[in-house]
Amino acid sequence: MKKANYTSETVRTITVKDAGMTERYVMKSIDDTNRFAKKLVKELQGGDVLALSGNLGSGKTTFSQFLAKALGIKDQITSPTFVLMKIYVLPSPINSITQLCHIDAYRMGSSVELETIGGHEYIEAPDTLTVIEWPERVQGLIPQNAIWISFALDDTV
Amino acid sequence: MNILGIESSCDETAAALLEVKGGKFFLHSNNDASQVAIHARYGGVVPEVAARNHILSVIPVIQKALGRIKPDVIAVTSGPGLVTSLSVGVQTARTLSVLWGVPLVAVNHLEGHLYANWFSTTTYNLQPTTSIQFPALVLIVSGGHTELVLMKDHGKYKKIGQTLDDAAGEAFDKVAKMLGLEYPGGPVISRLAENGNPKRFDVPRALFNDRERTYDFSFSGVKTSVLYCVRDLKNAKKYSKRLLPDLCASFQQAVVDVLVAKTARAAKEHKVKSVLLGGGVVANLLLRSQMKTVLEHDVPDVNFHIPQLKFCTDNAAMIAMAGYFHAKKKEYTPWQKLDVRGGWEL
Repeated sequence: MKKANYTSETVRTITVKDAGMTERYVMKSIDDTNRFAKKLVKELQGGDVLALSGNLGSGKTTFSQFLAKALGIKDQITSPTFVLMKIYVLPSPINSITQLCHIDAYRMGSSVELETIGGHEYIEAPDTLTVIEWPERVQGLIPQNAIWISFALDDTV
Repeated sequence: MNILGIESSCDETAAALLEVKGGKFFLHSNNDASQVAIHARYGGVVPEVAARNHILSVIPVIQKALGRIKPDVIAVTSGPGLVTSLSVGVQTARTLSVLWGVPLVAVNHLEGHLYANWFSTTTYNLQPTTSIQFPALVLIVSGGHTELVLMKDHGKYKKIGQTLDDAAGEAFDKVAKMLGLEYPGGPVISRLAENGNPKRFDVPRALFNDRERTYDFSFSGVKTSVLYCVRDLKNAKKYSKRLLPDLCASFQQAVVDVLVAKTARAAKEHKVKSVLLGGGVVANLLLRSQMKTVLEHDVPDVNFHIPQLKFCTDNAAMIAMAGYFHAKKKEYTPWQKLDVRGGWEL
């Protein structure tokens, strides 16, 4: 995966809420985010859902790109804002994950829209890791045991 | 030859009928779901859901496009795009192909944007012939795509660059949102920028220096740069709405500079005869005027074509046009083999 170089970076905070526990990580650079994604992949398995919340520019898609790279996906992961949902097949399965479903609900008004495009069929599918940006817009379809990851600039979580 | 074009790669369900006779093109219809009064029939359906509920609109849209004419060829977008949306167009096309005994052409959505230029365009630096000469370089720039494609001839494409993250049109929409402006972002930013100073704020141009010979683009950094700028201004209590024209102008200039510079450099390096544009961001006046100026300076012998705006946003006419050039060479796909390709690259 090719990486764009930024001329300036800001510290970001990532907060992970999983199974009742909350942990906060500070990303001082884009490399920290990459390392975080690599570590997280080791704990994930097919059927998992990551709900990524955070404002525009907080790092959700960049994190998703590193996650895909850690899963061995060679395709360039571009922003799914316009197309709403993209599926990437892993070159070889990792922890029973054979495909990544990357959903962006930024342009959706409600869960009904995600259902209309068939997104719900990927959520919790046993061979699929689903990553959803702007999950608040489709709250009704986010499963109870989804892992919520919040992104913020500096430490304003 | 009558070509029915069908497009349903994402938001739009569209159909068009293009007749080609004696080498001349007649576009009989170019419809989309918003023009077909289907919403009224399904009283109570939420509009934004109906817009993407292609299955409700695909038949009415096709009926309206055809009238009483049975096409000779069906050209359908089979990718790239949203798989469930593409499916509606593809399955409908396959069914009609079997019903009518008519061949199918699978069209790439980006190829469609490229062929939008074949509806008479505005051409600068006219050579004796106004037809599009090969090799051509195409910059496709929209809300969902930003790509540079080398077109050696009909059907012979090579992608030489693309965005690594956000599309240019997406950057406009998101920056507009960040600045509290309305949707769609392109027109409002462009309008405010007219009275703004593009040098007032230092917005970075990613992948843009001499060391970077890549034709790839990156616009997510431009987006965050505007975010930091506004944040810093607000922290220093210096932010006010009066800064919007300058913020918009500075952001817009950063995006246009990169699009134009990479296109011009590619045109020179690949010694093209024409430069074409495609996609909704073609509506941006600064992009068009700066592209024209820079190309005239850097590659003065190149013809620069701009498609008519109505063929720049997603539509089926461009799909029918692309379909025609494949049909000419009998490049058909049997209905049994025609499939949805969500990630289809040119």
